[in-house]
Amino acid sequence: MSATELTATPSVDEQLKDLTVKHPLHNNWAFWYSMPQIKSSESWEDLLIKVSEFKTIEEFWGIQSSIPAVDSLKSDYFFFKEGIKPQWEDEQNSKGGKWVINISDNELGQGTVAKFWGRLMFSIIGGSLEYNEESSEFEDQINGFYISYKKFGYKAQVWTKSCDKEAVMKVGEKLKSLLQNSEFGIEEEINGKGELKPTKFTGEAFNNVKFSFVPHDKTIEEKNFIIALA
Amino acid sequence: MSQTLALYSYEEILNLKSNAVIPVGFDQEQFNLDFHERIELAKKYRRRSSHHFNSRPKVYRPKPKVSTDENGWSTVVLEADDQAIEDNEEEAAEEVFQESSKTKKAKGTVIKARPNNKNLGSSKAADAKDIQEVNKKSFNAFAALISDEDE
Repeated sequence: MSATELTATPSVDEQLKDLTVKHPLHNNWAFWYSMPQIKSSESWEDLLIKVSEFKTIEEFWGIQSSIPAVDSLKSDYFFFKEGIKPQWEDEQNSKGGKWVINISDNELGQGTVAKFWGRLMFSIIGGSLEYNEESSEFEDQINGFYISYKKFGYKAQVWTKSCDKEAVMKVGEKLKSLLQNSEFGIEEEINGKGELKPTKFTGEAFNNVKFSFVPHDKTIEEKNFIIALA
Repeated sequence: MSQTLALYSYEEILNLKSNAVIPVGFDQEQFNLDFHERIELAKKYRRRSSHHFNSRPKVYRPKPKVSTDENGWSTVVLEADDQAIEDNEEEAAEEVFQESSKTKKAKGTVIKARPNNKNLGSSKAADAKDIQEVNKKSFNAFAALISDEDE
């Protein structure tokens, strides 16, 4: 691409076309990445990088198709709503908590982590996890979500805005259904003909998967809930 | 922003994959380079690291459940698994005790005593008379009897 092309302002028609092509998301998002720690002197903040912001489905795909797959991750991928840092100290996180799910391909079968992570991304960024069909409104209970590489497998977390039991349990129940039998997924669930073949996880191993809610404020012990897949 | 319904099903999201656009400011090449470089560095560092030496593994021990009855007595409630573990631990402890008492007995039969040589010597000079070789006359009872009879 030449320098003149880079600096050229797109025509009005091109700009209009650009706007019509893109599909806006309900929220603007930021993709964060934390680098694997090398020295103990490196703090969490030193390792945390805000990679890019995005506000359309097309930009989400731009990021998704440019970064290494979750299977090769050795640290963390974060998606947080614009203006919220993936730190519990952030004002918008401090009164909330997190749903924590530990999953491992060794225990649940090859590809389970990638499928679950795909379902999580699609349902939160696509808005379906927060959309209330009865009220026809988005509930905006989720601040962000992320996945971390661990020795046993992967830990997925969904951070909520509050610790309100009713709101939090609704998110937890939806997450549970996502792992077990959601229609959502990612390319791992598409067959050779390009057809969607969602996997239903109903095996015995899934009974051991626990969804635990933990408030960021450790003093609120009574707000710990556990939903077991059954 | 107007309140348009930005709700997308799985299939709608998937159908837009081919329209992927790299967000402004996202340097994907640099990101991938840093991503892999950092993993390699972390691997190298872990191979050289010895920070885990002299450290004990963390053992998860759940807090015991305590139930309190009407009279105010608190009892530690053991679950089936805990009970089994405790029984095994008791048996194992008993076996260890028996084994150790056996080994103590076996060791007790052989006493190895080692003198401390530095206390065996004397600081006084030896008396020459004590070490002088002198022919001492000794009385031989048998010899005496034989000689008396002959005479």
